[in-house]
Amino acid sequence: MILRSTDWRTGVMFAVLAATLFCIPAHAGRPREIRYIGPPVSTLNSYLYTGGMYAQITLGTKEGLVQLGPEGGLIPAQAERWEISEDRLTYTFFLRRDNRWYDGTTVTARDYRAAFIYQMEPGRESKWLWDTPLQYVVKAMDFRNGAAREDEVGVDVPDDFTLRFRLARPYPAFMNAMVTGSMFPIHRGSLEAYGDAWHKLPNYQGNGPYRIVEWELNSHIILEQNPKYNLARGNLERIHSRFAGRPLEGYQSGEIDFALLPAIADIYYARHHPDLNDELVLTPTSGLSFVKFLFSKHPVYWDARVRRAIALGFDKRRIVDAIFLGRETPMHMLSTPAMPDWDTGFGMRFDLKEARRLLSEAGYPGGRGIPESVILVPSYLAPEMVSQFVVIADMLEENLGIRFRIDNQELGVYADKRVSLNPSDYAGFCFAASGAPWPNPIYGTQWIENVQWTDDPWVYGVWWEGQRRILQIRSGMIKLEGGENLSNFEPVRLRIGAYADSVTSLFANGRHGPHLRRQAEEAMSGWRQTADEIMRTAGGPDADLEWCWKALNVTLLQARQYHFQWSNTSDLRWRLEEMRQEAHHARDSSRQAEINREVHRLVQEFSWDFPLHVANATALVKPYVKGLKFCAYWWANPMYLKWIDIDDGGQQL
Amino acid sequence: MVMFFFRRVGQIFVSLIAILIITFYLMHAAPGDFFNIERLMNQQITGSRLSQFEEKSQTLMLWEERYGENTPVWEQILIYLRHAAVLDFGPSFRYPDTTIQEMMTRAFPRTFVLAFSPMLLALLVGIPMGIGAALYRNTWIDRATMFVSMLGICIPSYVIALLVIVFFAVSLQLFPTSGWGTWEYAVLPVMAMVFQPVAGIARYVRVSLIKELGEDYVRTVFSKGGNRNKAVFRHALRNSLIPLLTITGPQFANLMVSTAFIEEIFNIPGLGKLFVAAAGTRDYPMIITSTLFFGFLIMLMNLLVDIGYALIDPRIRASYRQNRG
Repeated sequence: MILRSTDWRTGVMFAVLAATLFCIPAHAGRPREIRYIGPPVSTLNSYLYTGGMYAQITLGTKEGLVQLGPEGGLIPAQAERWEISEDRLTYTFFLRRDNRWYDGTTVTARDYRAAFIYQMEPGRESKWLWDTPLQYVVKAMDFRNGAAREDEVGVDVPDDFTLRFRLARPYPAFMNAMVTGSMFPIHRGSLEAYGDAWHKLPNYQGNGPYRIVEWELNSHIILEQNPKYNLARGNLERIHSRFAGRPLEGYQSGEIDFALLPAIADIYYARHHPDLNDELVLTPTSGLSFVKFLFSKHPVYWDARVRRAIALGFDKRRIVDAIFLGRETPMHMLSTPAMPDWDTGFGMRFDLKEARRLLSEAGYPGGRGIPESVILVPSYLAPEMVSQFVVIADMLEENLGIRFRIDNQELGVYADKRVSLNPSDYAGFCFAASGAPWPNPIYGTQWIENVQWTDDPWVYGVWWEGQRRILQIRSGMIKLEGGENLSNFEPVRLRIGAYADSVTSLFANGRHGPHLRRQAEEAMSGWRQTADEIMRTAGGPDADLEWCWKALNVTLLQARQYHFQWSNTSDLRWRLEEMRQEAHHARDSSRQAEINREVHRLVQEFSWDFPLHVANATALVKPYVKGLKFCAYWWANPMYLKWIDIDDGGQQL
Repeated sequence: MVMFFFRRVGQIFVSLIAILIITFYLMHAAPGDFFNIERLMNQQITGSRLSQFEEKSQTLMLWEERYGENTPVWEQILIYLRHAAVLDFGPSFRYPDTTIQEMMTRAFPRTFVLAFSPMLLALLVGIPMGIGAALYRNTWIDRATMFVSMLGICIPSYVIALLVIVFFAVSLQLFPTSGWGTWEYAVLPVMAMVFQPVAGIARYVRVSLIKELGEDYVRTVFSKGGNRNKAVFRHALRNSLIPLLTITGPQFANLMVSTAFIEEIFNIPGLGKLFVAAAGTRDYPMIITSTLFFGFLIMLMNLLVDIGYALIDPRIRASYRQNRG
């Protein structure tokens, strides 16, 4: 048969189309690569937290002195060994001499010191400041506040490979906190040459197992092995992390090698799929969901008994089984299995009899007298997370006779209502979540912050307004009068001194123990020093009087707030603070655990927060990916990728 | 014509100022702010029990550096305009390391490809479909075409997106499920977006051509025994396509705006993705610029349509002249 010209053209067209289509999924010649959907990297600056943290810790472009090992414990990284003094106030690290930056220069102790100073500089934004171990270092916070010089900060470099931290007071979590991004070195050459652009490509210098080949905002990051890396690692040659996508579909289509499945529908599908079921991995994390009572002018939830009745009045096990299909584990205390002090033996379990008794005791038998309340949830929540609150509302109405309505609000509105003193027709609780960055032996004591130190809305309101005013002044929303000449400054400085004296006198009788007294004295002397420093600056030849006036007034307000808070504190607050201080200073881990348990018990008694459940990371992992461990601390993130091996049976994939 | 052009450009400028003022005031009136949200999200990730009132962030300082402290809104608008005049939109809150214009310059080509490809395909497919339906009016061809185009109009692009992912990516493994890079990454998003404009254009062409086919001049061609194809393609179709220009401009602008859904589903780092995230996190600088950009885009498309109209249709040109007179 003779082909007509149109026929052969059609044939060629189809052949080209077929060849194009069937060539797309080919894997031939791919390096030992892992591809997955990871958190977005919005900056490579680890001190600005999320994005930088992810790139530097999980992906390993930088490495610090110690790391969490594959089994979760602390292992040496770029510190060969370390010594801790008997009084727990001096930590000395001896660095490896063969750790190199990408450009081949040696990483020295001076690079670590430069990183700490960089973060602590006054005015420098550092998201790690809230929990960085640096705040315990001698004079670090004073340096941050402009009241101490850089050379006074207690980070010493006796020689290029020895780094010493001097702490102002012992901090049991100091070593564990060393895994955070705030403890990574900085390449001084880049910092000097490029200033704030040190972390931009191609200026970026790392010392970890991988180097960045490509990074696209809102899209992906690609890394390859750093040939100058000095420690052992897996055979992984390339990492390709996308910042978003469809995990289940991507995994099924072979585009990614492991997929974290956040959606219950996807987990259900994978569990009932004949092939995928074998590739499902479940790991507990520290991602805790809890409810947080809202601050409202309506007095009903100011009563701890009512809050506790609600916490005991619904069955978490039923919710977890029916809605979450095992992805979550019910929690009865405000800590997670990932924490050293976790204890299944106590906590707030479903106890209807006790819940009803508490409600009656508070004057609301059968829920009578309690107005319809709200459950505030943010609109970004997954459907199952919202559904659980519908079920909780039903259970509370049935069990306790209290009616709740779900208020599903956009994130910005939710964030506002969560921290505001709401009107009297808006009382109830809201969804809250929290993770934990590392195994902190005194983690439980953090929850003390969530115990309100007063049950008096008026006191709370006054304190809140004070805080709001500080923010308004700082952010420039309120313009301060006065301060045009130096004579206005001295009376303000005297008032700061008066507040400092007053606070010190509160602790003078020794009733609150030595720790709180020392804490108060440190705080007050800090404000005195800050005030003195501002006065000196204001008296200088090129002084910016407007700035000085603002700084002095903010200091005054802070001292006043501190005084107000402590002079209105309840006995519970005193007790909890004292225990926290004791936990900070305890050297014996069993004593710390004991304190933590006691703190949890007290927190549960009076808290405004109640636990719901803790998340288990559920992932699909291809059988050829070996050594991938999911970290319990960085919520739903894999731990260091450097230990991954790709099992290719002697061939490249 | 020139006067018309300048008058329209003036109108665009005034409208943009109005959009800017409304956006600035709405933004300040809306509950929630970037710093509160960011603090909350950090707390959820790390478990920090951070005080609500820690130090002022560097991001806020950057904003103040640009707009000054305690500056009234009207003054902020003027400062914004001064910078915008030289295309300097400053850094966003969310990505303080990069300027907005840099981010938009990187993201724009992706969004443009995403919007332009379905538009082009829609013209290539929709016009023949519409012609077929009009020529075979009330036959099965017409009914089938209209049924398909009705489906295209009714099914939202994000539903089609999920269907094409399941079929072409998961089952057949022909194209990637998400991301952006080589041409394969664009296939599924374009497929998801093309149905609606195809359907719209097909229906528009059908109605327009049927109307033209009923006009006297077409009947005259037929009555004189003229060639049917010539009558349809040389006379009726040409006239029926003029009004099509009216919808292609706004349709293209609409596609540019609606890529946000598709970019989110397919994880494409385009303008839509940037702007949606900005609205959710109260990233003020990005919200202002994005609103202004899309407002400008829609008005520009309308202007181009009007100019195109005038160029191809002498009657419109005459009416512009008349208005001026």
